[in-house]
Amino acid sequence: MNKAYYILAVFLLLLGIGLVILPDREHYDEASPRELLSDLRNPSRFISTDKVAEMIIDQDPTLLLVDVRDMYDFLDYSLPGAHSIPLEEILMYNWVDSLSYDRSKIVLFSNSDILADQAWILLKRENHNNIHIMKGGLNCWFETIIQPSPPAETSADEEIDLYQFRKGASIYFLGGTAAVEQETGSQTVVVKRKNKTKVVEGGC
Amino acid sequence: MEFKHPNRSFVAFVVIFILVIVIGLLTINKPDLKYQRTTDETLVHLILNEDEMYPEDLVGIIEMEEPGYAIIDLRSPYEFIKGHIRGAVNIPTNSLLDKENLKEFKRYASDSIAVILYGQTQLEANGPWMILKQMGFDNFKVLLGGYHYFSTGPLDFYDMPEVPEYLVEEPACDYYGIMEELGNVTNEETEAADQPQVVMPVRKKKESVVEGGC
Repeated sequence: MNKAYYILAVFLLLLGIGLVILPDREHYDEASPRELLSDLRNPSRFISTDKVAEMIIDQDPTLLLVDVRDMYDFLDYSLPGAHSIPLEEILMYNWVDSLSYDRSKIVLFSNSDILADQAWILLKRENHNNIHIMKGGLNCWFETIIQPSPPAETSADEEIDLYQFRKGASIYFLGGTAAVEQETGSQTVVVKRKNKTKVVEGGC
Repeated sequence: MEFKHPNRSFVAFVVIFILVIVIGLLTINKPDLKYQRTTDETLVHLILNEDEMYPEDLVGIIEMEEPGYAIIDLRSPYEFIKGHIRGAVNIPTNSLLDKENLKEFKRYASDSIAVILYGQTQLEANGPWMILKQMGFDNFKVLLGGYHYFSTGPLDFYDMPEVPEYLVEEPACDYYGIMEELGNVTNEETEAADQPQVVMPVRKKKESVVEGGC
């Protein structure tokens, strides 16, 4: 046997052991600061209140609403179907994997968008995708969806359409579904006919 | 050494091949910037709310020209030229992690100079601030309300309402109250609409006696 083969065998063995140890040396499963900074500038991390309202009304199964405010605020008022995961607990319980699946669109919200943004950055660093922030938070939600202000008469058609959508969404979220039934509901009209008398009446 | 022998050249080739793989493994995926803090440690710092700069405090710092502070404007150069906080340095967000800037940040840290970051809104500075925080720059603070509030809002401590506008995470209105109020109004309306409307035309009763006539 050639001596070189022994050397090669030993070398390969060492390399094999080295490969076993290597993955434990450092964790590369985090997004680097540079990646995080470029993700910050991607506008698709935000989702508008109109889009969220539309998804709730359509009962979109991919939507996963997450309220990052504390529990008292959540109990006072929150969006329909939202989960309460306060910012303090955002990294616990591995909730992203247990609540969502591949196609899920996770939407974080708070009263404004600062808390949601902080939660977003921490989750993004742990390489969770499909996470969005509701732009403007609940303050914007009340301003645009619950109490929309009518556009000026001269505004563009899109704006008027948007207002009509918001007005309809407002009725939906306030629980006024019966407002639509009003038109279709059957009205019973009872007409009382006059009893005819036997005596010959009037006339020339 | 003779490489004419087929086995020997084969061995040499394998050794070179393995060396290339080893070098590749060692150099691949190595991020040039590293986090000093884990996400959990960052979260603890966030909840303590220590590194927030109130606009009225910043006014005091600028007017008294207190030493030990640096101000960084994260907006675009164009916006910076149009107007900025006195003494601010312009570092747009996308060049935040450039080498020269990081060198400057390290100098600030070693001189224990507090750095105040601001964007047009607080949201604009929030991300960059959190990235630097996770990289271990503890001396960075974020300006509440951003430049928008600083250039328009009341900055005198005594003029301020109880809940200043820059505390954006405060609810702007009583959510539960509004939902109750508006919800009730529509319910009443719909209740009234739910009842079947009975229209009873009241006709004039004709008397059996012959009436009128020509």
